[in-house]
Amino acid sequence: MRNRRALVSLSIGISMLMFVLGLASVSVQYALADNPNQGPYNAPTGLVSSCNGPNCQACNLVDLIQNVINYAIGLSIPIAMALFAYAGVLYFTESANPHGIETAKKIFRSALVGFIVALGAYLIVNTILHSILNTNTAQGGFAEGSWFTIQCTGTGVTNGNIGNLLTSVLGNPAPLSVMEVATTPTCPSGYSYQYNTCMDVNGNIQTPTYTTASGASVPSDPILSAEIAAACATNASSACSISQGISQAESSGGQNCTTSATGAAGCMQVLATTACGINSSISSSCGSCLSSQNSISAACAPVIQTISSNTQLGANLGVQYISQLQNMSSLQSLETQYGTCQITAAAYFQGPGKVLQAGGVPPIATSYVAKVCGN
Amino acid sequence: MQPIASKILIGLIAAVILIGGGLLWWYVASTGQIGTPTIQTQTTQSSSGTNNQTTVTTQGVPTQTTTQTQQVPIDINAAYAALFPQILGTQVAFVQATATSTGDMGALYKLYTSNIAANQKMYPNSASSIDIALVDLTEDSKPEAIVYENLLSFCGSGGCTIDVYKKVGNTWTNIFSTAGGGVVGLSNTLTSGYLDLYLTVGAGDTVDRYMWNGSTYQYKEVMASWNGSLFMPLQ
Repeated sequence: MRNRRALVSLSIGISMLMFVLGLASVSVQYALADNPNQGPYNAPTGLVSSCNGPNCQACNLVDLIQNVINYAIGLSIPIAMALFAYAGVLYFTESANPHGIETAKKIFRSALVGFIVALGAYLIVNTILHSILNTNTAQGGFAEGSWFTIQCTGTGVTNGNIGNLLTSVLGNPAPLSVMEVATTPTCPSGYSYQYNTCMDVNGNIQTPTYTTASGASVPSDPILSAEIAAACATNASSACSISQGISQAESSGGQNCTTSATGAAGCMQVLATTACGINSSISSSCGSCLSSQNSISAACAPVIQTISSNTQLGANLGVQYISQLQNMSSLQSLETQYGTCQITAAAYFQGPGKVLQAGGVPPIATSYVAKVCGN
Repeated sequence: MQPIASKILIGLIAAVILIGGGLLWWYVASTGQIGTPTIQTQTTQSSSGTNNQTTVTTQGVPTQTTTQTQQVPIDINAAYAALFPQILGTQVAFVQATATSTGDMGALYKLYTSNIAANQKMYPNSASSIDIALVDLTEDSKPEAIVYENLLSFCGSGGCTIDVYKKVGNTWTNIFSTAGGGVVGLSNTLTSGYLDLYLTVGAGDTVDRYMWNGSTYQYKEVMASWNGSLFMPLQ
């Protein structure tokens, strides 16, 4: 009897070990995966949040607690299964022994109660938290109505009530430079979301509004902001603020990234020929595109396709181009005279040659520059 | 107590648990279904390079949304070609002018030699030709010129420089300049003696009618809007 229990315990233990190793394996895979949206705040990638030293924030602690809860719930399923199986075996093998049958029933009962309690924990906690905490999503309450969905945003932990509890105790963590929030585009009545914008049956276009998971409206797509921030980090560029301004002027901050009729593609609206001038390796068609000198030529169509199919690439190209323009020695004196933002934005819109020729911001670029840099 | 049956049953259970655990480990390790994002993608293909949202959701993990586009190229030239007959216009045919061009083409090219040199300095490997169309805007049998300055350093997100010239004596005089796309249309209507122009200016979401005001071309009205794959004429 003792040997049998030891064998069963060993089997359960091994299966638990395998389960945990499986989770750890996935965690490592996920941690190593290329995540273009990953910023200074590292999204939870395993049981333990990936952060170290000064990068660790309250949000990482919330993630850790969250992950432990999730994994514990996950573990309860195989444990319950094993106990049910053990109770069943005991019931049949000890059928001649009243004490054995009683033990089997006891194990079955305890496992069932424990399993129900474990699965009911979400419901219990949800009910308690809903009754004692603010659940207004517009004010940073439950994300998607669930306390167990944590959102770390630009201002720290704003959703998810474990986060709220900790935030109330520890204070708000340091702001994060990357917002990682879900957004849902919403179109006016009569318009549907297509071509990354709102369009009615006649092809009329309206700008969508974006709503975060917490229900708050945001002026632009935060994913593009994150991609620009990532591009700035990758390129060690100091052009981030201008890049964000240009993304607002070009695509309302990522709300309308449709390829323009002039052949400007992506949320930063880089012309196909310009893109190939910045980085000819983005497409094998760059050579013929540059030779055609026309961004809407058939030769440039694959380049446009490449840029518009990869929002991070579009952001990278925009940031790289802005960095190039900022560092052009021929524009330096004009930047000193009229401002770096003004000259860079004008050159982005009309080309650096045109800005040099005009000796400043060309008249046609005036309103564009005001949009990017303010009046 | 049946020792043999009991041992067989327990052995079977242990085997099932071990195999089950192993299978679970393999499944989780190979598919990453636990602790990693669940990706839900709605795919709709379109000739416009439609963007579709990919929502990545994980319990306890911040949600991420990325954008993907279907692999169908947009034919902007074909969209213009389809539009012009609808708005009673014809597309201007540009010709590449180079340093070896002669006559009016050569004379116009020379007006841009300094720009071409500046462009070559900034982008040494770029082409050095510009697009020129000689068209009779005033219907007096003497051509005017439309120049599309498709040099890399004279193009930006707002398109490239477009100039219109009129020949006065032997000199080409600039009568209009803007920036936009490389497709220009001619209307069939004259305003103050000049044919109206159809241009895509700046950000490039519309085709606009430009009319002669006595001294230069001036914006008049939107003729069609661009929806990412084709132009929708405004009635």
